[in-house]
Amino acid sequence: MKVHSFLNYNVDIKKQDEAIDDFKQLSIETQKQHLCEILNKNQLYVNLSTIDDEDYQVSEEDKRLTRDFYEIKEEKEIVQTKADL
Amino acid sequence: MEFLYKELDTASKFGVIKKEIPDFITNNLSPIFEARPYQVEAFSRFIYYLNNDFDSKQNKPYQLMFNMATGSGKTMIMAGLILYLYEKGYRKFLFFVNSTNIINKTIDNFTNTNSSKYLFNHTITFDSKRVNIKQVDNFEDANSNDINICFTTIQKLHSDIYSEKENSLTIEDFKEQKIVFISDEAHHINTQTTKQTSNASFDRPSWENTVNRIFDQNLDNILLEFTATLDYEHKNIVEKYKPRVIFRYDLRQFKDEKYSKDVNLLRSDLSDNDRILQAVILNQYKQDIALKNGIDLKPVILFKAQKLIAESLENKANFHRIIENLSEEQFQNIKVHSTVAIIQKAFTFYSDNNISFSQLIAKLQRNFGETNCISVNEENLEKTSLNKGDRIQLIEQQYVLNSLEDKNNPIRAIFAVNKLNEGWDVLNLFDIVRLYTTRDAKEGKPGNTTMAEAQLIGRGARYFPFKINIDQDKFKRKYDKPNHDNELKVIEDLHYHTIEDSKYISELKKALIETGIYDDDNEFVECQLKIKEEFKSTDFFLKTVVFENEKKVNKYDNVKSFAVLGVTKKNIEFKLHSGSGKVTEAFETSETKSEVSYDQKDVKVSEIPIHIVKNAIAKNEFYQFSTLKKYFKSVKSITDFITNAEYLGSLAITFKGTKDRLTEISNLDYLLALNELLKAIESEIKGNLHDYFGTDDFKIITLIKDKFTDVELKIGKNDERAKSQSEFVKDKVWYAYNDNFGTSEEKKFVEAFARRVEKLHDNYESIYLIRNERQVKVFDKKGRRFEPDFLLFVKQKAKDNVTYQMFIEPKGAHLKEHDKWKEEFLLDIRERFAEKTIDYNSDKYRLTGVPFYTNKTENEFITAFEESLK
Repeated sequence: MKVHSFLNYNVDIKKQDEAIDDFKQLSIETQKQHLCEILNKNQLYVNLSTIDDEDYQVSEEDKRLTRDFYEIKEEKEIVQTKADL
Repeated sequence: MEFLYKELDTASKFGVIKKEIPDFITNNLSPIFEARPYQVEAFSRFIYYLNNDFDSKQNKPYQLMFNMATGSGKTMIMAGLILYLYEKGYRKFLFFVNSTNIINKTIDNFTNTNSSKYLFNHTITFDSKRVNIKQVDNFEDANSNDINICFTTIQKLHSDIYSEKENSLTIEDFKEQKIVFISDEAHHINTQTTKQTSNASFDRPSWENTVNRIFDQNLDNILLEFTATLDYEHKNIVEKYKPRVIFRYDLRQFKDEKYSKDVNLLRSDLSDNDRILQAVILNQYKQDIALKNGIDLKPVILFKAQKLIAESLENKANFHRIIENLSEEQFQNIKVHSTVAIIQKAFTFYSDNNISFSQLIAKLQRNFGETNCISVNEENLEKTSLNKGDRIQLIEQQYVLNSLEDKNNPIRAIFAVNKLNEGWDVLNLFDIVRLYTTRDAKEGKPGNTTMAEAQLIGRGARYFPFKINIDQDKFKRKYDKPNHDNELKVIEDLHYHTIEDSKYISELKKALIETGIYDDDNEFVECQLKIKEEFKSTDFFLKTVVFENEKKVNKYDNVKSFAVLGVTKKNIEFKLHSGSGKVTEAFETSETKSEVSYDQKDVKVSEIPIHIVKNAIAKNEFYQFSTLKKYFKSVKSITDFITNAEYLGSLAITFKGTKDRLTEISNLDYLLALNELLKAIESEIKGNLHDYFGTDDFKIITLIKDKFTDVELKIGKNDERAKSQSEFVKDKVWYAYNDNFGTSEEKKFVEAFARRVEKLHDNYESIYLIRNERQVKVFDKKGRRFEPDFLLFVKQKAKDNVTYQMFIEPKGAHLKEHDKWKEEFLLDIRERFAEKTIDYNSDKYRLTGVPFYTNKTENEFITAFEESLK
């Protein structure tokens, strides 16, 4: 989770690690709740702009599907000219 | 007292005004927008005005006038100024103009993100916070973080203020809050000023009064006025606007700097019907030429009736009859009788491309059918007696007329009297046909009708942007005669079709010259620049070559680190206050330490817990992974970008603060410091991004004899460049051309060179100084085009017989600063080739450059010159 999750900036990793034993004492429900709290809720999904980030290992299939879904095309200039193409 | 704009002209010339647009303006405007030099000037002046004190500055509240030609991008200036003033703390903007047409169009440009003419970037951010454009009816609805704009007509504003209603603006709206007033077509609100003969009463409500009344409610208000037409002849106007006109950029400058179409008067002695047909053929020819060159263009013709709508309707009916009954004989007839060169050119084009008259007829009938023509209803939207159906029709018609460039707009021909006035901005109007013959001049002065025609032509002459090479400027004329002879010239021309009536033509010319869109040919002299015969016969002329480099599109393929892009590794300083962390903006580590009691500590980005860095990156829109990937192809992931020493990994932040604070830097401290670092890096990166670049190699190789041919120049009569220098250069063997039509500085350089040339003969032979009239062009690292004024060739007598090709640019002292990059580029060339030669056909060449030649610093130049030939 330390590596792959997007944590809130104010989470102190060191203190979290030190408290790992206390953490293990807690009930699974409380553990879940605690872990949810330290996540940055704005970053729960992978942004479209981040699709090519290798950390997320999005498959080619998924990428293609996403691009089709959003109908992403190359940006075009309003007044098209030969040289611009 | 002088006009404010004149004072600023001087200040600007002497470098008092810094020519810069802040990043937050550029980044938040539409990415299609590239600031033209005069637009940079307008922004710089405004910024200077607000931030500096000087004698002639007005008392608050400030009222400033931008007097800029139609088509020069006034709305873009407005948008930029809104952004600037937002940053200065203004949130409320009131836009007003005299006509509903313009309001609707402006609302679209400011608020419709889907419009092709939308002025802003798709997201507007200040300090990585998103800001919205919000259209409001009154300022009670204003949101304190947004740009709140209220669009209204001056009439509505006036009635709102004088009779209070629900949900409309009231005088209360203007008390105790600072507002930016933006007045478009501002000459309309000067009703009072122009009429006021003596000390006439100001009590009576009038538009101008209304504006003044609300404007005076708060000293921090700012009134920005925009117009293309300011009456500089009117005493009262002059008095009022002397301290207020901040920038004047009139149609003449606009045209001279090639931002407009070229206006041509096409007079012919044909029957009305044949004249109409001739215009249609020319218009169609323009489309076909564009098509041939890969340009998507739908040119439009305007048929203008004199006075009555009935005439205009009759014209339209007649036009349909002509088009339906086209015959090959008619074409043959025009072909034989028309003496107009461009028409003959069109006929040649069609026969060269095997397009027969019958095919051409079919084409015209298709393109100019009834559904592609529109008759303009001349009614006024403001008129209260208008019935509902007419109103809807009018609005639809406005939409069609304002979107003539759009792909799905079929209109090719417009029939009108004179409704197409202010606010009608069309780029693809290429022909205007005048379907009447009256003149209304009095005592040799053009009458009102003729003046109005001239103004219509001025408005219609907006340039249709296109380019076919990457080194061309899309928004400027490229093929002016006589220096160019290109078929594409025709799509840079606006043709005004009239009958041959020399009296009328001379009146119209007078009117056109007055507006600034047209120059009489008599104002110009044609100058011949010819290669001297004796130079032509030399071996050197026939066999020596010229080297140029190329401009290419930057794909950022090789950018594997910040360093490659030219982003210098910069640490930033972050001050930890004993209370909460506060930001200072000192980026330079070398800054002298003023506060000795503070300690400092460097922390590398790689030492900061990565989740904090990720949060900081997520907060800044610029660091979206897709953006990073575009410029830094080798980046694998955000994590890679953070940890890789080529990117953020090796950067560090210097924290300053008390010992206590330094031992315990909090996550929030890190986050705030990172925000600063990322911002600093962002502007570094942006400063180093260029869509194009000039190649390192000079691989375009041309023989001197092919490159430097005879040139014909068209120069204004009173231009210093028109003065010949042939007497001086005619017996100088080393001067290749017969003359020099350069600036006085350039002529002085030739004289200075003449004094040094003797000494050169000691070590060199084949010494030739060649005037470069835009034949040779080179591109710097950022892809900027540079055409040095002179090329000097000399060949070593001894050693390796290396031939030097030296680029020389004389430059008046006042321009030095502005063109600094050119000088740097010249020195860059010298450095790059200092140790190497280019082998070509068993000859050795070396490229070199010298710093600018300036008459005042001639001795320094000579030293540098000798240095360059080492």
